[in-house]
Amino acid sequence: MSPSEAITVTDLYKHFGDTKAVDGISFSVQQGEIFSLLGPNGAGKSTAISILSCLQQPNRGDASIMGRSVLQDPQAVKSFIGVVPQEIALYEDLSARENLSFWGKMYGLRGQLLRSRVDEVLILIGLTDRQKDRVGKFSSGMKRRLNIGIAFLHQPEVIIMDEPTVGIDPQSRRHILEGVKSMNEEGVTVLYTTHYMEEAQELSDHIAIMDFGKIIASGTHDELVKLVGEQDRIDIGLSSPEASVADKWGDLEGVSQVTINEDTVTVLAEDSNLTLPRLFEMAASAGLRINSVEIQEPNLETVFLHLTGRGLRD
Amino acid sequence: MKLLDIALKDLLQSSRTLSIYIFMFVIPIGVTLLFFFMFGSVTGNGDSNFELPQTSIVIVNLDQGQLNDLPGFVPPSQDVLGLNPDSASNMGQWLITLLESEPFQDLMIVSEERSTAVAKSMVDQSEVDLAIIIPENFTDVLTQSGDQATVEIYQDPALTFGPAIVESILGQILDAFSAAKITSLVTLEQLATAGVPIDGAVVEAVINEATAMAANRTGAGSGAGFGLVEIESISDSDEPDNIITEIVGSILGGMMIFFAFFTGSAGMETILTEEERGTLPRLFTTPTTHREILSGKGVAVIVTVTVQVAVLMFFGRLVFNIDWGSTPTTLLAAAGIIIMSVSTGLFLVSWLTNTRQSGIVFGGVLTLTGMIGLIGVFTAGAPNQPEAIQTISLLVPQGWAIHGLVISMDGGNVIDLLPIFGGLMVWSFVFSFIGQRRMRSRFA
Repeated sequence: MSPSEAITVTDLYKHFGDTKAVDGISFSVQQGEIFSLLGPNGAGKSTAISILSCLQQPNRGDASIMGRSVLQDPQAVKSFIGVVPQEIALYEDLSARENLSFWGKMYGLRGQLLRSRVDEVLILIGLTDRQKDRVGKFSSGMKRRLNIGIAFLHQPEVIIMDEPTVGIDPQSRRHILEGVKSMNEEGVTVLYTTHYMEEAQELSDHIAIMDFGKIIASGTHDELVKLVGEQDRIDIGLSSPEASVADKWGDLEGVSQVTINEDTVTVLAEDSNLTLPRLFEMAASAGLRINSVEIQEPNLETVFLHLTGRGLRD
Repeated sequence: MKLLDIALKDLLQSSRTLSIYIFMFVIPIGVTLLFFFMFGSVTGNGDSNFELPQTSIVIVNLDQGQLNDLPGFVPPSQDVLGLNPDSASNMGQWLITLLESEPFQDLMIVSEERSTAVAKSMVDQSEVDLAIIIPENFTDVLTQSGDQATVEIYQDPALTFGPAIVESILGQILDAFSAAKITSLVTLEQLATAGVPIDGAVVEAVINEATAMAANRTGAGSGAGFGLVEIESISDSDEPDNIITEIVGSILGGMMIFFAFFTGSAGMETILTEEERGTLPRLFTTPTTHREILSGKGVAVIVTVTVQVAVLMFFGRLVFNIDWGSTPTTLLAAAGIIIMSVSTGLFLVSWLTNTRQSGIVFGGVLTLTGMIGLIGVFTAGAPNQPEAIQTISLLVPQGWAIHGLVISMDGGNVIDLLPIFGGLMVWSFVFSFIGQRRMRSRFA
């Protein structure tokens, strides 16, 4: 492990019966960077996070945070990390301030330091005015912000965030993403899981794409996009697409992949300007009616589609 | 320190819910008041107008025996039994005279009936509470060797308390009769074997002595009548030394243990609640040990159960003047109950996967084990409880808990209580150990 590595994961396995939730993943996160695990639901992201949070033990392999093994020295690891769970984990009978004070104590903060940190976090998450209100009365977005605020009460070296923006409004999501960037600017290492390609793209220095418990690709955003070349993604809505469409369109020059998802046919092509007219012609000759057309520049969604043949939200 | 932080957090949360006040105050006070309305107050403060409930009895004497016809029969002298033997032609009549005598007049109203069917019909129609049927061979069996007689008690099943007292008294009287008979027969047989000439004077002396011994066995001193139930004037006594206080104390103690165990389990259920809400897994991601977390939650429940037990004991003392024992033994007995109830809660919760299961499991397990452990309380009115009941109750922790409380209430000291307390601590250790191990296995 390099001295600059905040997180090192080596050949990690976690099986539940026949289900391989995590199937031999390895990666490292440098100190001060934001690293995203991107993948659809059920890809194994949360299980990997549970192991790194010392909530579960792997069947094989090991992981270390700030040089301490999650297997050998979990208490030390826990003192380095702040965890933002996917579900909101707060005491709804307590006020925002009481929640922060309690969790601060669990991280070892006491006295004046605890009080000042609680004040700072309340300002950071924008809940100073509501600090005495019981959390049960908060909106979902406010709870999410408090849920995150708890994780950086003790100013951890590493923050582990498991899909922190699930089920919230765009305004709260923006608030959270800005908060993550702000923390990172202060030198905090962030391990972030999401199935939202846009979030990974906006936040991350490095991204690992997970599917079926494995990391199928990793690198910076640009490195990952290069995996699919300069291909455009063309989504064509058809009235009644048939399986034979994929075969015929896939034979076209410049088309690397065709997938059908309900009424939409997705085509990866080198140049959408050249390919699109020919697709229109073939659809017309086959008697298919085109309802919509959408062209996207190469992005992480395209990468995932290229690597798995499925969309991230499938 | 974190242990206390967790306990305080749990108590703060609980203080904002209604259930904590129900467990800590409403249930214990409510139970005490319920008993107050059922039995009245026995505070012994001089202002009390409490009277034992009178039980109406109809007796059918079918006894065909004649005492004076018995060869060599010499009735016991009056100063032993406090009865006039001339008024009783047989033992059945003697029993009726005894039950009608002054010591029992406050407890029962006795009437006689010739027909068994009529007597039972009177019970069925709630004209009386209880019918006692004395069999034909009653005198013969009590005065001669061999054979067996059965005194039948027919009661209104809806009534328990008054009939139970009468049944207990009757059992003691019959025991005394039997003891006197056996003692006399054995003594005369031994005298005959030893070559002592048996004449009327010897027989009278032996019967008098045996009857006196039997009377003493029932708790009455010579010349004081049978005195099977001593009912002192409550206003003249500082001690709740009467049967109703003992029974109410015993039942209230049993209820206290039942509620303590239920509260202990319901309190530890917060582990499952926190697990479902995600706060427990989150706690395990902080540098806080499993032991601190579980112990912290345990301390909060201990506080809750302690308040509940203290309130019930206080009101039991206030309303019924129940003597729970000396301060050290009461504290030790209560500590045993409290610790045991919390460790039982942890043990039970460790076998559950969610709160939906808890109602069924707590209700089923705690009711079943509670009934086994408190079987001695439920059968308190029954005379001559077999030893097996005591043994069976020790199969479950509630049985140990009630034993400890009974020792304290019976005036035992700390030394007397230590074996039971030690047993409770062993139960607690085993339950806590298993509970902690099972909870730990859920998280890394």
